[in-house]
Amino acid sequence: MRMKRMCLYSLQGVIKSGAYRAFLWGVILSIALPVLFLTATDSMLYTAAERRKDIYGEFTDLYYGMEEGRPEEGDGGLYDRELVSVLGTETEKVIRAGNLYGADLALLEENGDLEPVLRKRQEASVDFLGNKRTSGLLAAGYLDETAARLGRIRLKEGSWPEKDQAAVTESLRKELGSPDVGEAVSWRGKTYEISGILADYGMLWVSNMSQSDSDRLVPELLLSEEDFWAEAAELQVSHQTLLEASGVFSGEIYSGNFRLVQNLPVKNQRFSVPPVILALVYICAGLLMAQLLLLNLPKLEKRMRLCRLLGVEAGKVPGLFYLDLSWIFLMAVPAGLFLGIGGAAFLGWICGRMAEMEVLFRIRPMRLLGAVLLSGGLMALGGIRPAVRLYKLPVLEKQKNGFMKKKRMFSTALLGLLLFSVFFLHGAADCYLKSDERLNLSVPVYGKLPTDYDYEFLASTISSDTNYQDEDGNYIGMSVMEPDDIFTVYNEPYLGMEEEDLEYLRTAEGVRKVTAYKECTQLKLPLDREDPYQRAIEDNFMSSGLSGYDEKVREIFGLEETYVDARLQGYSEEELLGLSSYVEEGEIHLDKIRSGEEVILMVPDLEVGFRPVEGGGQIMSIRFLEMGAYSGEEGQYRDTYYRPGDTVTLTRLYSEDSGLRGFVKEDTVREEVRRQDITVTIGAVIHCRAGWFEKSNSPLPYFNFLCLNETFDALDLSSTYTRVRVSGREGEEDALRQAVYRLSADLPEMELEDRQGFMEEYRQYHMLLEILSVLLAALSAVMGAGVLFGQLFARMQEERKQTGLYQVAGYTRRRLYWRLIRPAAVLLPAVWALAMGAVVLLARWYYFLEGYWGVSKWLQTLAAALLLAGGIFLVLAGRFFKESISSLIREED
Amino acid sequence: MEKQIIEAVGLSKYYGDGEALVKSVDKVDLSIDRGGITAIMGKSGSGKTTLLHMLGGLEIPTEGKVLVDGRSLYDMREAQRTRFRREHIGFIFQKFQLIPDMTVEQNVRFPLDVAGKPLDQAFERELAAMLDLEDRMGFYPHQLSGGGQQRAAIFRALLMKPDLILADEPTGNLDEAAGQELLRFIRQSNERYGQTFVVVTHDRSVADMAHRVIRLKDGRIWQDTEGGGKGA
Repeated sequence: MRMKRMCLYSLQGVIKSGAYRAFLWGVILSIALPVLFLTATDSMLYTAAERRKDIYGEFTDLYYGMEEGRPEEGDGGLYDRELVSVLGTETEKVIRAGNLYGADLALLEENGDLEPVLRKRQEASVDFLGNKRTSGLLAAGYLDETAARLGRIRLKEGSWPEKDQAAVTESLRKELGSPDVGEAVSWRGKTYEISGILADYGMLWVSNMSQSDSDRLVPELLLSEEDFWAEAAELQVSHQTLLEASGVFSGEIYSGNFRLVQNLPVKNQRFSVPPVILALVYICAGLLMAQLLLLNLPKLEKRMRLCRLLGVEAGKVPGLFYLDLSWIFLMAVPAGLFLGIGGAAFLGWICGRMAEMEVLFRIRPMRLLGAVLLSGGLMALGGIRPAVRLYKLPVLEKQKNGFMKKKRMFSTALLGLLLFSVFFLHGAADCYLKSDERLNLSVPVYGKLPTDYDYEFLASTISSDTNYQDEDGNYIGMSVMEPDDIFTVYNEPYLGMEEEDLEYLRTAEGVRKVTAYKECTQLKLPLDREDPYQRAIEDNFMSSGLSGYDEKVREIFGLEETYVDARLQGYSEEELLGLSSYVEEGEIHLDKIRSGEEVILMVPDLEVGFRPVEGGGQIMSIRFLEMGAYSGEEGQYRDTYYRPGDTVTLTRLYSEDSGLRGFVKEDTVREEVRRQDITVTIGAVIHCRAGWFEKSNSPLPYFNFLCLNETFDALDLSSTYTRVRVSGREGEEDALRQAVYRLSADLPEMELEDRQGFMEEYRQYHMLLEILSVLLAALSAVMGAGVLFGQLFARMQEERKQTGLYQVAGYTRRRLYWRLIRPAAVLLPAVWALAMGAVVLLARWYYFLEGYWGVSKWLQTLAAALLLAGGIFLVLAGRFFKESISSLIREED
Repeated sequence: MEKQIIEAVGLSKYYGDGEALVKSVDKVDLSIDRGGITAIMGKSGSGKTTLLHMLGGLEIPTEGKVLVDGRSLYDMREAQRTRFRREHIGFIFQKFQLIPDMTVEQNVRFPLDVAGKPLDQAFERELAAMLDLEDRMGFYPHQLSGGGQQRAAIFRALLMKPDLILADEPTGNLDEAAGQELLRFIRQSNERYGQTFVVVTHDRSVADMAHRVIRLKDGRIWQDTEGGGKGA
């Protein structure tokens, strides 16, 4: 056999013969879809990672502190001794490090042009952006190139400052009266030319421990190194060293006295497509190719039979077939890559336009090469069955034998398998996205609830219930653990946030919606040592979660010896129902909760660990476990003592006289202080931290009872906190921030948590997940629709003559059409039901998404699938009913 | 060289069994001399095509032997038989069996390429001229008339220079004029190159042209006579 000529004939056959046309499209699709999937997901996850860095900076660790004067020459701001102590001997693991220095200008005199700004800020309770400052109203600084890159500090216009130049942040520029680049700004008697305008940056707000603003000044006026040290050398200078490091720091470092901050959001990122989803895409692609080959088998047989007639030995037929497949693959690769990569780019462009967020396009050549080769491998595997069949092909065409029936059954089974894979892919992808959303977004917004917020603040007005200032200005602690304090009274001067404060917020500029929830933190649950969880609290790990009363107090009020701290939290109906996916036992009955009859008990699973510290001893760490993470390992705790239907009594001491605080006489206590017991039934149990407003990972209190705001009235219980959520209008963030910060300045006991970064991240990442979800749904729809159409169309073509002959025999065309589509019409809902079961199991046992895949969601999927199938049936019907009987019964050669 | 190119002994082909047994060809003994044109005729279902296919190594007989050039076809392994067939036997089919995605030139050369045999260009030119296909070598089958396609099929069969050419209803898909022209080419080829033709046909004009006419009835040879071509 002349190989060269045979190759040519093969190529010509692949291009010109109709035998491979559908299959070529199938292979192109089988390359394009995984490539599209990989490129699109890579691009979106890369975008998410980069956006996260935009918010939190690119550094993994931040070392900071206040120093006197300039650090020693050559050490770049991080003092040698500190560097050694922080990094040990593993400095080679520091990939990059950059420094940012700041000097607080509030301490300086002769501030020139900056002085009015300083005065204004000193007078105002909040700054231009609404940032409340506890010290230092404005800082000048200097940063090196690496710090700028790691901190993602960007110039909006102009250039970085050189000698006698300064760059100002955009907000400072506005306060200065919007001077342009090239104009001048004076400071300490010296004039600087403005070289550039910096985008306001917030990366230094990353925190994993309590830090104050004064620790980390954010310079708004950046000078050249020489100018900065000339002015600030004698001053107290803060420095932040931004480090990109890999595994340098040990746990002990974080618990030590170093001001070192992990950039947790950047470190924790987990952006990758799980292999199971990718595998499903390939399974679908492989099944698609196998199906198409099978459907094209008659044409292939005809082609190969001709070759056999002309003298090709049977043993060489599979070789010829695979030669054809090789050409198909070679032709499909560029087309598939083009379609896949182009499709992903197009998708990114569309998403960018729709979401007003640039999707960073990213191609990973090795992954794409792997995808292409894998598709080739699947094609080769898919070709095995036809190759065997062609090998056995007789030279002469026989009467149709049983294979037609077998093939039809095999093809229908394959269709079922493929539809199952497509449904399963769709469900698994959705589960993955949901679980990824929970995991990746669990740090900033744990226990998310569906909201339509644009911008969010969390605020709570706290009561001075643990200390207060006496007439002489002394702070007096009121620990109930101390015997001397037996007459100290717990009382709340503020029963949460006043309604007028909420009203102020509601009418403030930039505010769209304000919701306020009640909370009572002064409740006690009698310690029950029958409960292993409570026993562990007392014996093993966190006795600070317990309260004990003095004997005298116990005697007066008839109290138990020890109580577990508890709190009752109010929610809106919508948000409470939003927690249902976290409920592991029982159900949420809104009516019973509203009437005070039932509450939801939330006791988060815990993990307690110990690590050794230098010089001996151990440090205990306690953390919450994510939903589904509890495995019963040593050190993990779950409360299974309280079950739905159990009744608990919560106790609290209070006085109606809000002025009654501090040391009082026993008589007064007997007269003024009341004991209040509330008895509630547990309706549902949640074993993880859920809901908003959890701002730290320190697990106190352990026992949380969730209810509605109305429950407080039903129980005749006063709230001690108000949790406030403020949603802003799009584009009015600055005004909103100012309003909220102004309020926080007016309410000194208001604890404000600014989650702008978190919300930004949540919004962006959520958007990307939505896009991915749409992409995967579209991918499933394209595959499913393609396969269904291909199979039915091929069968219709193959059975043309049969259709004609049946009609001659008296069958109606409509009956024959139903015969054609019946297997698919029956298969679709059956496979849907089967796939639903599999996805429910996957969601429950693999992704721990109990209750996530509800019937309504799957009904939507079925509805969409039926709609698509309906469209396909209609298109086919148009063709099926068009042809005359005469044209059907004519044998096509 | 033996005088007889084909010798079939007790050749039978049965389909089904029991009451459904169909004897398509039943114990046929046949020998065909080298260099002649033999027409096999008979009614539909008489077993003509099955006999031809068995003579050409395309259909394994239920019983009996076929010797072509003294070699027993069905004692060979499949691959050997295929190789023998492509070297020694050419086929012309009613439906032409041209490969639709190849040009006439590629179609006629395809068996040579499969066999790895060199092309005799002078012979190719000669055949093309004889079959009036010189200007149509670059055409695809669908660009030719029925007669043109059948001429191309003959071209393909002749180019391999086989000793034996088996034709199954070669004029069946052609109009009368094209059919006559085809028969002229067959006779011309037979005379010029001395190839043996065995033609299964309903067409009486083939019988008129043939040197020998065999008539089949119920799978058996019913009549074996000299054809009109014997005296030509």
